[in-house]
Amino acid sequence: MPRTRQRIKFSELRVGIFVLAALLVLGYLVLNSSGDFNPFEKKFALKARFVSADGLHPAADVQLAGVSIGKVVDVKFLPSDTPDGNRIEATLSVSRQIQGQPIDEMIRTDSTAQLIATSVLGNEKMINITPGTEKGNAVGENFVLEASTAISMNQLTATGNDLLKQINKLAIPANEILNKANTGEGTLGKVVNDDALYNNLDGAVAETKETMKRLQATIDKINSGQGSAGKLVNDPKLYDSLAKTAASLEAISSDIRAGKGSAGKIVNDDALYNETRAAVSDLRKITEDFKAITADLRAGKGTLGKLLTDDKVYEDTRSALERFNSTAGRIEAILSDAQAGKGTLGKFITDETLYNSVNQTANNVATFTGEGTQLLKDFRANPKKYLRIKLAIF
Amino acid sequence: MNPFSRFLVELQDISFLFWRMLRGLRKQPRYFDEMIRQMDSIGVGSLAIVSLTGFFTGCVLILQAYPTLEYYGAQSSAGQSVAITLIRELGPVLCALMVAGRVGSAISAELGSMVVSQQIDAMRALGTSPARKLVTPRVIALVVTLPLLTVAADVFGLIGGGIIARYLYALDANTYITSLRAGITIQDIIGGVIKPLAFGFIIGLISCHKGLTTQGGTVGVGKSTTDAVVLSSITVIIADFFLSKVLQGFFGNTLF
Amino acid sequence: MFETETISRQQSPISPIVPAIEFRDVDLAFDDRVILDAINFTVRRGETKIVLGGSGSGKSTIIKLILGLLRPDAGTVLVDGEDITNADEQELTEMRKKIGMVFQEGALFDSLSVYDNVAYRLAEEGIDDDEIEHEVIRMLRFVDLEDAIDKMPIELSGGMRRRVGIARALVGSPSIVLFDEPTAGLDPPTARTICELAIKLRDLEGVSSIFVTHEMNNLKYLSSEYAIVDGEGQVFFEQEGDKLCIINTKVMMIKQGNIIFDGTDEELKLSKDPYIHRFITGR
Repeated sequence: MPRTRQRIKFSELRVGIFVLAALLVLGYLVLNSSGDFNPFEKKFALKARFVSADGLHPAADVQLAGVSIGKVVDVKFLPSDTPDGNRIEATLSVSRQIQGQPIDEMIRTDSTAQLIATSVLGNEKMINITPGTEKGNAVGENFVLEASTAISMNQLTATGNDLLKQINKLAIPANEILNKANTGEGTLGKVVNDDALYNNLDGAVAETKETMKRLQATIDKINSGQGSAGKLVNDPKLYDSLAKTAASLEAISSDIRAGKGSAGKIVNDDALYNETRAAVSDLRKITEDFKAITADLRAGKGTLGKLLTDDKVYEDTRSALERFNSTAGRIEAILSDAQAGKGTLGKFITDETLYNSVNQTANNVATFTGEGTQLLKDFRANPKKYLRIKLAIF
Repeated sequence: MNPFSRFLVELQDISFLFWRMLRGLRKQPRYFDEMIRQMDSIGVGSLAIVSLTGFFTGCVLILQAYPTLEYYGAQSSAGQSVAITLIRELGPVLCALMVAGRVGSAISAELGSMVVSQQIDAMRALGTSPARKLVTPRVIALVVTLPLLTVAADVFGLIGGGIIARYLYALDANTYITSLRAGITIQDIIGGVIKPLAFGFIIGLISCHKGLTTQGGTVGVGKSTTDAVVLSSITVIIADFFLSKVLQGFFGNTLF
Repeated sequence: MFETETISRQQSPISPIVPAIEFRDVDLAFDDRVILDAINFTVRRGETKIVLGGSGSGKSTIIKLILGLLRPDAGTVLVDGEDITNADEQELTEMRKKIGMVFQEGALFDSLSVYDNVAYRLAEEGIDDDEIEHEVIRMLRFVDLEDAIDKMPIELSGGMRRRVGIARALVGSPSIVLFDEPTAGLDPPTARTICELAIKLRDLEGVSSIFVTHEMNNLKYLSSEYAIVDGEGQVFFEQEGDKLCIINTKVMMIKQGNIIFDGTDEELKLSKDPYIHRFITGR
């Protein structure tokens, strides 16, 4: 029916008003059916304090033992003088009643609030409140819940991170050391890798040994009364030179024996020591033999006559002694050089700090290399073990 | 009359129209012939535009969604993404909007010009209720055909999405179809059919009301046609929100 | 001429003294604009009331009130002695079956053919197709439009549309027929045909009617001619003479929502009111 007038009395709109009201109620019920929208419900306010908000936002879910009961209204900083360092305060708005039970029957003063991740991925947080026990009292409005920690994914990841960092810290220098040793850098590397040094030492020792052998042979000959011993005895020059050689040898050997200088130390350590000692004891033996011969000569005992009369023997002995002399001179030169710190060996012998550090390094290398080798071997044999650790962390 | 009273008057008139329409269903004569005729003009007549709308909506959905899916390596759920968007939301709503534009305007223009040329008065004078004779068949025809049109739009949309996925993004057709079948649940389909039922009812009732309350000659016909399309489109979108909420309540808000 | 009695005239059980239409103090206003101001009049059975008045004087509103298409702000409208002022749509629908309405422009249903337009009321009532066809042809013969039976309204001329409208209004043999400016915009011969139809209804069918018009020609025809049927069923129109004065046609004049004249055409011509005088003479 067409409307005859624009002005309308309230009573003529009864149906319209009724329908509007019905639609509004329907809309409200629809929105409220899942319980997220209820502007008329009076809420219960609670607070919870945390050290870090850790991804907690307003409108995050609040659960009581896993059942959703409300929302986070506000997350804010407290002043710096807050005790315990719990400087983040979250205001929670929860339903006053849950299935007919008042909320303060379930949340008690001994309830705690935890920050819980909503998913493994992402850093969204919600708050879970543990139900209170009978020991606690009913909570009042704006009660501050104590925070308890639940292991969050974040924390787990952080722990894993720390672990990784430490492993890394260890791995980097070990790697460096091994790398340097391999390329021959550094003291240890040089010791391990420098062939020249080794050859020098080895050469010197071998030469000394050879000389000693030949000396022994000569002395044996003298002892057996071969050659022109008379000439040797009568010739003061020869005697002097022999004596001088003997004295210098003695000095060297006594020096070595007394462990003077770094040389003594070095002989204490490795094969070098043993060989040097053997050489020295040989020297001493020779010297004693010389002394005996000389004494015999002086006493004119034995086959001295033969020795003294045989020119050839005399000449032989002379050249042998000369050669011996020159050898001894060379040893002396090497040793004095070594003592003065010249050359590789010298440096090696005289530098005490170097020695100590080499010693230390060698020790370390020994243990480290042992373990490192073990580790590498193990890694090669079973790489999955190490890889799995990594996977488990991430 | 202030806007609020005008709104209340409209609401009241629509409620009365609804009531008269219901009575028209209950009593003889029921005008089945008229219903079939309206279904033909509303349903079959709108099939082309609705199918086209659905087809290109499906195309554009996959066009826009695929790069994102690819970024996350989820190309295989391309079909699912189109299906859910289309069947739950875009199919019903776009179809309803298209029908509101085509059929709503036609209904209100037809009824409006009948009012202006006194045909409605003549009808009443001849002892027929316009609500029964004109409104009921149209609303029923819309309520019956809109879900069918929506299904057509959905199907064409899925086909369109499939074509774009296959020929533009080279997605395997089987992957698309499998993902479609995995992605669509019976709840989606029921929800996608319940919505157009309500939308058809809204479009029909509002367009008929606007047509029957035409005033002021041919200019009034134009105005009521515009009003019918605008008002029914807005109401459809508002109703969609609340319906979605209700359907979520019934079926749960399943997320993939 | 009504051969069949299958569709009987809707005869009211109420005695003929009860007027067909009665308005009692009817007020109607569109907002501040008063359309009808305390209107009182009656249309007796078999009487034709010619309602004269300028454009916008509220003539058509009276017809809409009778049909229940509008409701009065105050007062009572009675049709066959029944108060329709507060009737609901269902009661109004029943009441409207007694009334035939001829609209200004015909108001034919554009989507229906002439046949379906005329058959509309019967089809709604669920009458047999054969009976409907019989009745429709009878009515179209009455308005002399048998040829146009299968045409659509859009193909008809203005006069033909009015006549189809009349045929449609007369289907079901209503006891009251309302004409709303049926001759507006028609050429004089066509207008004359329309008036003859109204006269036939009045004199041969005993229909009560309200004939809203602003054309004096209509008044002249309706108030001075009568229709008679001869033995062979032929209809003749005769002028009233000295021996016969038409008493079943009354004239009512409305000006700005008020009835300024209600009486016979002779009384109207004798009226001293300057507005009426100008209206009649056109000067």
